[in-house]
Amino acid sequence: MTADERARMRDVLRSAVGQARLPGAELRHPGPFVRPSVDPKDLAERFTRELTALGGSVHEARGVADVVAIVRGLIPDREPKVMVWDERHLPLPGIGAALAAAGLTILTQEPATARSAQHRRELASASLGLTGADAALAQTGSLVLASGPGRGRLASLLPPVHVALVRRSALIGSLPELIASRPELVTQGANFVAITGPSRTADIEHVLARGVHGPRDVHAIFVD
Amino acid sequence: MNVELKPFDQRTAEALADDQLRTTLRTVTTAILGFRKAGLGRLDDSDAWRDHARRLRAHTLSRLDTYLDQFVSNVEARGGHAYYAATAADAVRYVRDLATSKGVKVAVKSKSMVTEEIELNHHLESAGVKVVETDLGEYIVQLAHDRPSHIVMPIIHMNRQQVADLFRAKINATDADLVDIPAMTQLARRVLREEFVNADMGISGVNFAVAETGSITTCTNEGNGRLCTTMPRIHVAMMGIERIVPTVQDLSVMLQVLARSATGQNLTVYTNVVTGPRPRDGDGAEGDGPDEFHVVMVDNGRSRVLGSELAEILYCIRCGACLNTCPVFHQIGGHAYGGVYPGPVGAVLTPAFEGLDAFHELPQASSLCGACKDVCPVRIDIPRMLLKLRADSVDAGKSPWWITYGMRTLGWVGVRPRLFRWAGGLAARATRAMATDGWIRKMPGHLSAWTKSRDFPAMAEVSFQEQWKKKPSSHRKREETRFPGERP
Repeated sequence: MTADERARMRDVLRSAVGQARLPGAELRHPGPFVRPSVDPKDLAERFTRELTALGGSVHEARGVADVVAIVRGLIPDREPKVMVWDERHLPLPGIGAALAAAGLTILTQEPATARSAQHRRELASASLGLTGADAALAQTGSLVLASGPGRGRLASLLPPVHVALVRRSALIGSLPELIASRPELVTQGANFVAITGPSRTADIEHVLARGVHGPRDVHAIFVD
Repeated sequence: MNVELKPFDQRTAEALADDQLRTTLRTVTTAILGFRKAGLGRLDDSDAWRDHARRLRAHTLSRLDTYLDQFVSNVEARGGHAYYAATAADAVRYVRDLATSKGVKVAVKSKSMVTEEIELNHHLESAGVKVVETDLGEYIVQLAHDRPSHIVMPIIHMNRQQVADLFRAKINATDADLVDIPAMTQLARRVLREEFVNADMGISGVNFAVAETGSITTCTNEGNGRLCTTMPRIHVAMMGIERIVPTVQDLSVMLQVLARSATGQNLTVYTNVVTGPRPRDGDGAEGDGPDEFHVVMVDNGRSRVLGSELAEILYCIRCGACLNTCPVFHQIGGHAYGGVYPGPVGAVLTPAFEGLDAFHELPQASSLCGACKDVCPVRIDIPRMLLKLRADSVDAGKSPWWITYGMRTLGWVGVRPRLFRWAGGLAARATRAMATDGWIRKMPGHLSAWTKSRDFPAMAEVSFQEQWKKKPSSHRKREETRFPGERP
């Protein structure tokens, strides 16, 4: 915005604010508001219950082999392509190599190829996206992902199945609690998302249909 | 807008004649209200969250100049562009010029009420840009050349057969594509996926913008909002200037009540926060996301409303709960309101934005039962503002002559007790003469509208005042009671 445009905006708004009749308005910011939501010992149980109620699934894996088996079981294709976050952002070392050894084609995203239509078409053909998760919200069954280098947004969005590897330490009660304790996470990358279950719509006759534009299946795997 | 808007009476008459519409509205809104109640019930101390959300909205608007200015600084600090559009025309011009100068051929859109308000699609199309709505309901609205009839459920007025016929006619759907609603949804996914891959520009709405970070938030269920803000090389976020919260912590408070009030979900499936374009260089470079991020802050009358007695309507967070609960909305649906925003909130917003000339009947489209205020997550006093608008429209001479003169006469008679008693007695005799078994089936003249759907009772043989006089004075608790204007 130019300085002139900005001055004009301020002038218009300042005069409007000066005359505004806003019931209940206090000039001072009312401060933060957050309440503990879920008993710390119930976090995993509540997260599982909430995500399952939304049509998602929660698994436990004891190591790389378990994750490969779960992922393999979710992909029916002959030549399965999988979009995977950079391994340094996944809580299981060696998972990329293990998936490749299991016959999966690993698709990754690089800054240089972000604008290539051909690359995007290939990404759109992936049958599963594998990501980590920065937090898991027990109150809502949500997976929280901050974007960044090697942590693309499309892996949790384009494929029909999204699998997130979750450390138990990432569990927290609710979004307000997460943001109160780690506000910087929201703006760490250009995108911050809380994913609460599979993509859904009820636009036609209020009948629920899953997998409209995003994944129809969402799986969280606890890896520790 | 609304050049060809039919008169309000005709709009409501048409809606009332549509039995299927009313059945659908009743079923769906009842279900959603149940979900809302359950959703808020799952949130401990939901009233405290709502109270705080209201405090935040009130405070933010009282400092809107400061917060928007801070927002602009932070958008720019993260490499984005912000633009303040004073009018709808300014907003349209900014987006159209951007699209033209960047060679945009296809723009994908996620749901945004403010773009309906400024008729952005129409203007982009006439500049040669193909605009594709990608929210399933909005996509269907676009294919049908229709208008959304609900803030949250745009095609609440259509049934599956109408959608199936539309898909067959417009996108060559086969019988297999139309076998059930999930199949129809998958067809839309396939068609729209191709548009996402090709689009140069993504246009999104904004549920909340955060002043302290320059972030915008979209709350969607389908995933199209995330795709619009991720795949195309340019992302344009369109927001009303009032859609701002001071901090990310405040954002989390608003999110606690928005989805619960709208659909009863704890959160929408995708609570998507975007801060600037993707970083492209250095260690922080990201592999997807737009190269350019623009946010258009649309005023279009909002600052005028802010400076008026209707400012409280700007607290609205567009959950749609007041529509779902409104007995009038249940009967007439969204289109009859004639504006972009239907229901009780629209009955205030539309006249506030567009003036009372074309919309002076809207504030009358309410029984003032207060259900809208009860369900509002930020407790907006909609009935108060409807009354204010009614008073304004009377002052502006918008009431029918017989009401104006009728009320004036009543007022004149009312302060003259003898005349009042005489006239009351006359009216009582008249109603008794017209009544059969104590009820009038049909009133004369304009009053017949009242008896179209209900009977009117004849007035009592002995009036209240006569009864009062006959009472022994010992039964009168307050001897000094006098009627207005009566001399001791």
